Amino acid sequence: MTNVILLLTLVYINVIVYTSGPAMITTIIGAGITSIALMLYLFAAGMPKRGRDTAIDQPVKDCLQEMLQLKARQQFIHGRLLGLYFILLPTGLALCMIEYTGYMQPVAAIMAYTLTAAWIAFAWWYIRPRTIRKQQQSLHDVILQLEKVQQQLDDK
Amino acid sequence: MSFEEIYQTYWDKVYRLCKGYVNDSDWAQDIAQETFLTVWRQLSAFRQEATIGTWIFRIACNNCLRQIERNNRFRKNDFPAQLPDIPAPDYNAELAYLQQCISELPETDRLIISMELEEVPQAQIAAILGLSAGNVRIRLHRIREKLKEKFETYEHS
Repeated sequence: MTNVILLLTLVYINVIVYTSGPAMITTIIGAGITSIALMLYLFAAGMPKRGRDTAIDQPVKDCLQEMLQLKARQQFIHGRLLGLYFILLPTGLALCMIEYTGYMQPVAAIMAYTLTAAWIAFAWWYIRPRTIRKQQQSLHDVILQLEKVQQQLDDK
Repeated sequence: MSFEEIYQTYWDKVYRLCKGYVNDSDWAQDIAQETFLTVWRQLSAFRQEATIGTWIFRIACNNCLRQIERNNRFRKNDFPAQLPDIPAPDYNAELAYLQQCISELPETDRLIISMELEEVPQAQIAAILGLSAGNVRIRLHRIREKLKEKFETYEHS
């Protein structure tokens, strides 16, 4: 469901920017950066949880090793992608806002920036660590269990 | 060997191996089916580096271990509580206890003892797991000791 909403958001932002015909390059760059951020999240969310069957017919010890390497790689990429997402998204939004707040009254513009900054701060310090921790936790649990099984095979 | 011959020969053994690992008939059936799906897909590419039995058991064991990736596969709190109790089929209580004991062993021990019960030679078990034959022999000895202890406790109670 989250992925559907994000995909719709991605489409929506691009439609708005396209139809409004921005005058400033910052808006176009901001929309581009926001789109990249959303696509990164969708890519991270859609990363396959299981590897292909490349090692499925190999000795169990070798297959287990490959599973562990794959999970560690997934964990690394996933963490990096989510980190980038939380940097690019507010950056894109801030760039988009430059033009549109330029059309507002100063008080309204200040309020718009304040609210956006508050949301970005909330997302950075609350949503970001929670999201990353939750998504990484299940990968981490799987890695721990696989390491436990590998240890069983390594024990003499 | 054609796929049909392989299926006829190995289905029961693979199913029992999977059942020994997960101790759940439906889950074991899923894993066994996944195993034979892989066998069917990869049979044409099988280069006889190992015997067909070793190859199939490797796929089955690796599929069992892959269940770790699905550790949230079935959350018991999602199961509706109002379903009526269906009496379990009548079968040997000792066999049930053995299956229970096996399911409590570490993952690799479950695989080893399940293959031993399927009369897979120890050398073949070693080739399947990627261990030495001596290592498998020692592990089997320890597993049997553990199971013997549990059965002695069961008999005394």
